[in-house]
Amino acid sequence: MTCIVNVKGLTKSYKNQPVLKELNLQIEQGDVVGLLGKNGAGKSTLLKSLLNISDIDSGEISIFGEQYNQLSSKSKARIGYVPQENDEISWLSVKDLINFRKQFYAVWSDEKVTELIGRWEIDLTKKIAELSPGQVQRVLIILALAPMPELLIFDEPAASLDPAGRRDFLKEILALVSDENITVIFSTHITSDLERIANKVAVLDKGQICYFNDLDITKENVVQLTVHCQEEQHIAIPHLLRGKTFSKGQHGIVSQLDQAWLAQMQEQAIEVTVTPMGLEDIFLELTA
Amino acid sequence: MQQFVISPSSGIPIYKQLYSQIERMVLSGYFSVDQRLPSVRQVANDLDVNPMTVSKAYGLLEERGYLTRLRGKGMVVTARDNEVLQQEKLTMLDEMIKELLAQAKHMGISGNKVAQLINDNIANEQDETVGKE
Amino acid sequence: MANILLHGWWVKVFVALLWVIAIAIRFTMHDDSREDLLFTIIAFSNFLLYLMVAMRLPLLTHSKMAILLPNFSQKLKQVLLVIFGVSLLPTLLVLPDAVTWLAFISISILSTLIFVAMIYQPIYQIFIWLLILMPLPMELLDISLNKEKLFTTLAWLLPLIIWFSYALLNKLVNYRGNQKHVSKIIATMNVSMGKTLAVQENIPFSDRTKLAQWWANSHFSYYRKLISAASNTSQQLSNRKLIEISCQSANSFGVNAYVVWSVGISLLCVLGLVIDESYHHFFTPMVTLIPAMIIGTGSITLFQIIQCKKSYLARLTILPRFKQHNSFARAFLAYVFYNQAMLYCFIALLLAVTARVFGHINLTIYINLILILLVYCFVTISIMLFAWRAVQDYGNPVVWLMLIGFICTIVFATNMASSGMPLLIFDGVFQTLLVTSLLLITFSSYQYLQYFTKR
Repeated sequence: MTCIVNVKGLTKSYKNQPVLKELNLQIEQGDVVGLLGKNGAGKSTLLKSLLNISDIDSGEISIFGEQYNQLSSKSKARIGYVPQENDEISWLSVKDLINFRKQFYAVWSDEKVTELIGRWEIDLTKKIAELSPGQVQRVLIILALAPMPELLIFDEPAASLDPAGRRDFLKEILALVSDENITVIFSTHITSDLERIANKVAVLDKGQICYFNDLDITKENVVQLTVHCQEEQHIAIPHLLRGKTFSKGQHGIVSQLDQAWLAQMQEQAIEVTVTPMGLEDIFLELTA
Repeated sequence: MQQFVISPSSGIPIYKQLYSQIERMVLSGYFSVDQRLPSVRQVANDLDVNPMTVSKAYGLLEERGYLTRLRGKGMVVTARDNEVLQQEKLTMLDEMIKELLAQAKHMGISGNKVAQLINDNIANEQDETVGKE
Repeated sequence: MANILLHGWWVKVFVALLWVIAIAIRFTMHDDSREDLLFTIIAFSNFLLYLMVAMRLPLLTHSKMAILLPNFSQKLKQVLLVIFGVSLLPTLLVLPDAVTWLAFISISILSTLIFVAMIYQPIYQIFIWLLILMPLPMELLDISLNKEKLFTTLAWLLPLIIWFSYALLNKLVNYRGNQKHVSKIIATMNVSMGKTLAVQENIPFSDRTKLAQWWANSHFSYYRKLISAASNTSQQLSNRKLIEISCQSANSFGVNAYVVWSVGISLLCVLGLVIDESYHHFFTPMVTLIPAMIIGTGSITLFQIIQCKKSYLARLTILPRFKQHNSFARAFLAYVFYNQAMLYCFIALLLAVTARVFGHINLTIYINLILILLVYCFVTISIMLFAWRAVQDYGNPVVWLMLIGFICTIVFATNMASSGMPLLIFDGVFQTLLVTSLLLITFSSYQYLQYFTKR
């Protein structure tokens, strides 16, 4: 699997406050990576730094094997980006904006644009300033998808969309993901969206990617354990994130489910109940 | 047509949920032998999930022998020995019984009491069947 | 991309009109008496075009997507070169000889460089001031400017200038610096003319320059004092005062502005009195600018401020304070008239004082000027009132009309100054104009009052 995005030692400070500290991240082709993080953790900063929209203090970033700040035109044409905030010229009409962007790309799917404009009922003659935030987001998504990119980067793409809009957006991404060459990175707060479409989850906390793993493996490993034992029996739970002892046993949350230890417990006839957690709870536990 | 139900926010990974459901459906005969399952794309589209997840579930089912991949047709239910099927059904029930017994133990009810309860239930059911006839 | 850089019908039409006029003059003139006029017209039209494009440039260079769009810099470079090339076509028809033409290209390129530099780094605005002030030191140092020699030099320098500007162009299309300042410019350019001010209001206080912060603070503290004085003495502020306070903005022409202008003009006059009389005509351009800037900052700005506060003022009208039948409308009109009357009287005063010191206009011209400004004032208040009570947003055309009207007024005034016109008040055409404008303002005010009565 080729590594599409390779980040090593990315450091960025904003007004003398460190935001990203020696961050490392490798994303392979075909991955759909959900980027989770608390408010202000630096998700947007990370994505903007990747694309050279924000300057960085130090670090090496390569996209499609090229230096991130010297991307060839060909590589740029393979990237689609939907920013969190809209800084498009507000007096342009939707039609003008689409035509403007189209000039830059050799590959541009008019069918896709027409299909989405129709499905999402966007008035082409309206100016950007006259659209609702949800519609603006949709237009930005269309602009990112039209050149049929291979790397899609979304910064909170569904923030302004209502549930129906979010579902529609997810469907679009899923349709693209069926083609295995597409790599997607998206940052979001909405864990249920991530659970549907991501195959990998990255957690940004305290300036670093503190957790990066396959989503299914995450759900199978970051679990709640209840060990039914007597208080006197001090059972050490491996990979414990947070634990509590009470009279009839121990309760803990682990970041990794050690099968060997489970087998051991079984041998010792100590009962262990495993309760899996949804991604939202997992995220809260990992960043507590 | 939506025949699978998944809950994305559950702690159980989606592929596992799908796997369990299809496993049950095959064992119970909901899917008959040689019946073709909907394509990965179709399922992913219906459920709004990543096709890779569906692929994973199907792959696992293929590994365990429930499904076979046929060229041009997709995934079909494997025809298997009745004995093997029976064994697998029993294995499934065995898991459920283990859980039941664990629960009972928590509640402080002995295994014998549980067995008695089961026998009572069986007896009741037989009575009902006789009553109907 | 061109339609972003050249967006806006008003300017395009205006520039094209000037080109047509220039070409028409060229083909109807039989001698070179009007050569200078021709040169001025074509220079003005082209500079306007370059300024417009320069102001729109940051929208493209500093947008996030500029980094991600493939071949962005090349395309931008191409478009800029094409626009520049096309703008030179009319000059081919209009300018008399090769030397003038080449010199014109040099001047165009240099001025474009200055415009762009000014936009991206405000420090370069000093060039404009230097240009205005240049004649005085030149005369003092006895450097004479020979037009022929200047043009020839510029024509010869053209290759160097082209090479230099091409290098800068390459740097420009990749330039992303001075984000803070440029994003303010972008915010202004990202809206239509009717709203250029509103955006400045939304710039967070901490992002403004220290001077801007102090200015805004002192402006508003005057009104704060007013309010607390009233509440202390439990004496009610008049309706007009209330509306005045509601319509204040950091960009309002308030007490600060009056003070600064008075001090500035006084200093200028002192300078004028000290310097030998023969140098007085060097101050003429600066002095002519005065009414322009005051009207710009006091009249057009007022319009934009109130245009943006429409919904806020609408909320005020339903307050119990204004429940009396059209008391709001009356107080509002009182505020607008009072405000503009003060402004124009101030301009008249400044004009009188500078005329006395610099002697660039005599009494006849002065009275004519005042009369013209009066007509302009009436007409502009009328259209402002019309726009303010309209449901649709007419901000854009009104601002353009005010600007164009004002430019015409200035052109007419300068022409008048040099051609020695008699007192306009005795002229039939002007009398009609004056009466019409009076009627217009009366009608507009009446309509405004009616509008509120109906509600």
